[in-house]
Amino acid sequence: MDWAVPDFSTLGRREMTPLHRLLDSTGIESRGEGEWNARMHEGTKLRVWRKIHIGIDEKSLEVRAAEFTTSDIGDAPMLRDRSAREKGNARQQPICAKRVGTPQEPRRAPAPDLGGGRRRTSLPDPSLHAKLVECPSRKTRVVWRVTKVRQIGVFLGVLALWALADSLALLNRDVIPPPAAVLTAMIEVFGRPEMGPTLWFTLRDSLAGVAIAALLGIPAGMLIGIFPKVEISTRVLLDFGRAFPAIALVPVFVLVFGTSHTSKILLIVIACFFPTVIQTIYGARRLEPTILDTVNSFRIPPLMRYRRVVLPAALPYIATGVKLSLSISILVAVGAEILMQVPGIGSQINLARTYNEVPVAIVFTLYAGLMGVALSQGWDWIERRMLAWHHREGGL
Amino acid sequence: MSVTRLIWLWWLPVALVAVWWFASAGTNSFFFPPLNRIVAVTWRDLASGELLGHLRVSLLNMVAGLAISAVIGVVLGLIIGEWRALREATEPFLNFVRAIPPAAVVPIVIVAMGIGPEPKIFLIVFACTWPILLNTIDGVRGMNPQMLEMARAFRIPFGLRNRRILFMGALPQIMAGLRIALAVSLVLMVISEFVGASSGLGFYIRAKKEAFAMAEAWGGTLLTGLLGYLLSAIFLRFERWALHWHLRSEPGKATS
Repeated sequence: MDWAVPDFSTLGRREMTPLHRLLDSTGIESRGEGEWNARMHEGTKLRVWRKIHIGIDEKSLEVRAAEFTTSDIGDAPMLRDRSAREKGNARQQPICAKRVGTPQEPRRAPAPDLGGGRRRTSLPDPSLHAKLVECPSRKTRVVWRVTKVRQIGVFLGVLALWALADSLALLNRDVIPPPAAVLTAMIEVFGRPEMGPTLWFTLRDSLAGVAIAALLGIPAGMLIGIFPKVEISTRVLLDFGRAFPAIALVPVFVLVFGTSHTSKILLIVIACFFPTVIQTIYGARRLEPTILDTVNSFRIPPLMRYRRVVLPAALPYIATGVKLSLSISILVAVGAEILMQVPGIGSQINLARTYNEVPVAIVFTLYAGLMGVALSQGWDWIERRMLAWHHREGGL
Repeated sequence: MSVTRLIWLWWLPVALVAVWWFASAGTNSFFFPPLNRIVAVTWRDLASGELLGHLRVSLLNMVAGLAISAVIGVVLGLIIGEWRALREATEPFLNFVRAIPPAAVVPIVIVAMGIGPEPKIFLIVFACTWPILLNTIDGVRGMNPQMLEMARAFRIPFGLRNRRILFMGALPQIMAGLRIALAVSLVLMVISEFVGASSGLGFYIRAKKEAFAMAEAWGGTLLTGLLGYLLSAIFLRFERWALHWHLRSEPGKATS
């Protein structure tokens, strides 16, 4: 097909309905790091393709929509996405997939479990599926609202199922009390004088444990990540530590340190140390070759280099490590409180259990879960502010 | 693997154990008994079969719990992952349930269900289903959509498509979920045996602690760590074997 190539000023004009659209993908050549790598080190180019899908009005040849994706996204899902997002009963035309790609460094699989920051590139990060044109239509908002309603519906549905099962006497009330009892207990526990200290003790000890683990784990991780000899020497120890269930230390700790906040914090430190170290190691290793070469050619002294180059590059990964630690810390704190009877949410669960107040025990369990969610959300917020430069430059 | 590499891998752990061994050799400390005594009593209990019996009980509970949660997690995960509306609707709910500390439910479940193997298996299933489920959902979502489009174009039968394309495509992520679940199941196994059990590794540690037999308690604790290390090493082997096709076809992703 021979259409005139639209210039960029035609992008994003207001749309008129109804319209016919043609969808096609094309691209702009740009040079990524793969090319640089090939030139400098005669390495592979590591080519991957990026696609720009362009939706064109059949009559006016105006570009109605454009979408930037990785090469593995076909036109069909884009069409579906767009038509879900746009209003109007536009008839879709058959698709001609012409592909000119942009060779680029492929995104390698980032940190193992929970991902984390990505490397910065001068090109827009394809993972964002950068929207060149964004016209939020009524339909978008409706779709979003439908999802919200469904999400709330799931919560209500689970509650309803729970109530139904309870009224049919399918549930053992000693394990799962009726939902009404739990809901009233949810509000009722806030009237109790021990509520404040309970939440505070768990929160404080978790945060203290995470902070100590970070203070120890980040320098250790940087050392291990920078020096390969240190890495290979500590690998077995790290593997052992990572697989070790910290909670198994409880009986020994109870004898050695007593049932104290110290034991609890120590357990949290041990449990959080390893994820922090491992994420920091991943971070310290992920320095881009371009940056390394720049640093080398400017002869930047080692200390400055670690402080100003390696550490900032590792920060997104370290942040992921801290986030992991935060959720682990709540789990360990509650477990330790249950097993050791140290004041906190866990000991309240035990107490409620002894007084046969199962709803209260469940409520405290739910609050522990909420605390975990709140901590990780809070950390996301802090991370966004602290690593604003990283996000701005197209990281994640 | 070359000899120098082996030496580099093991010199520090061996040195640390040696330091511990010799530094603690003559102590009378109640809290930190000499390492040779810890090893001796652990070996004694292993040889007499007492500890082996506990190990067997713990391992059986773990394997049963993991197997059940793997089936639940993978089947539900494949369904939720493929059905976009369902996935979006259940996302906040699943994220909330995942954040609930499973340790908190242990006392309730143990009191209600007794000290047999059922509550332990139940707890392990309760805790391990989430990582498997969420990872399976991610695995299905992260699949190359062209593969499924291709399956439709070739009119591959539904069952075959689910088994050979959907499941295999999500398998790398499922394995990642299983790896997390393995660690979680070990934790739950230990906690549930601390709270209420008459056998198992956790019970052994707790009973020895209550008898103030410090060397045995340390031995049991170290053995638990060793068990975790061995299990994850074995699982890594299994994962490599199960995913060899994947590692071969995508060299860029094979490293981690």
